[in-house]
Amino acid sequence: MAESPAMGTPSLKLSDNTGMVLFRGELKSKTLQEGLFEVTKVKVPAKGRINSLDGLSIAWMSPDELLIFLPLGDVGKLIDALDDKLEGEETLIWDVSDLRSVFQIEGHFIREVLAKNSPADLNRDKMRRGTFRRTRFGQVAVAFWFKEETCWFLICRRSEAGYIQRLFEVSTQEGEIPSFY
Amino acid sequence: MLKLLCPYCGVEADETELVSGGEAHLKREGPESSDEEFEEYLFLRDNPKGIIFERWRHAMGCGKWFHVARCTETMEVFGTYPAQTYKPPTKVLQEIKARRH
Repeated sequence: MAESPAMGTPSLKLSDNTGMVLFRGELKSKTLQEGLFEVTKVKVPAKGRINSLDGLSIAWMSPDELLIFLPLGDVGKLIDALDDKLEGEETLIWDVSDLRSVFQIEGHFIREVLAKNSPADLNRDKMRRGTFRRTRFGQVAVAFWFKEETCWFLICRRSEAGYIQRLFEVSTQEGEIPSFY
Repeated sequence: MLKLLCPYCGVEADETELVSGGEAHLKREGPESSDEEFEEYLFLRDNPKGIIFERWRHAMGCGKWFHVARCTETMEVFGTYPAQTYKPPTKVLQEIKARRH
C-alpha cells in the first residue's frame, strides 16, 4: 500500500466563515422547490443528499427540512430574498450560523477516523460524493459529507464543537488510525 | 446490535442513533373512559416474548418517529413504517406471516 496511516494524519479546523440557514417547509411543493432554485441557483437535493454550486450548498436534513450553507456575509441577503420569493407560503427560514459549527477535515484516512467514532456505513459505495449523512460522532449528533476524498466537512452543535475537536485529536494520535477502506 | 431502516431518510440506522419510544399503536383513552381503561392506557404495557410493535425515534438523524415490527426472541426485524398510522400496514403483516409459517 502506497499510503500508511502514519503519513497522512487528518486535521480538523473550524470553518468560521460558513453561514447556515435552516429551511423548513413542504419540500415536495413545486412552488417551494422552484422558489428555492430561483434564489439559490441550486436544486433542492434528493433524500440524504447535498447539492453544491459556487460556494452555496443545500443539504437534505429531514423530509421537511433543508440546511443551506453559504458565506457568512451573504446570509442576510439570502434570507431576505427567500422571504420575498416565498411570501405567503408556509415556511420557516432561520439563520442558524451561531447555533452550529462547521469543521473542515483535510488529510488522508478521514473515513477511518469517522468510522471509529460513528456507526454510519462509510463504505465507498454507500458514502459517496454528494451523500449527506446525519449520524453521531462519539456521543453527539453530527452530519458529514465530502468534496474530495481528502476534504470532508462535519457539522455539529456549536456547544459541542470542543468535544468534537478533542475526540478528533485523540482518534488521530499516532498509531490510532486503522486502515479499513 | 439492532439496525433499523428509517422510513423517512432511508438510512440504515444503528441502535445507538435511535431512541426507543415503547409500545406502538396504543389507543388513547379520553375523559369518558373507565379507570381501568385509563390505567391500561397510561401504565400497562405488554412485554411479549416474540412479535412486538414499537415506536422509535431517529434522534441522531432526521428526528422523526417511526414504527418497527420486530421479534424480541430472534431479534429479526419484519419492517419499519412511518408513524402516521393507527395499525401496522398490510405489507408488514404479510412479512410477519410469511416468516412465521
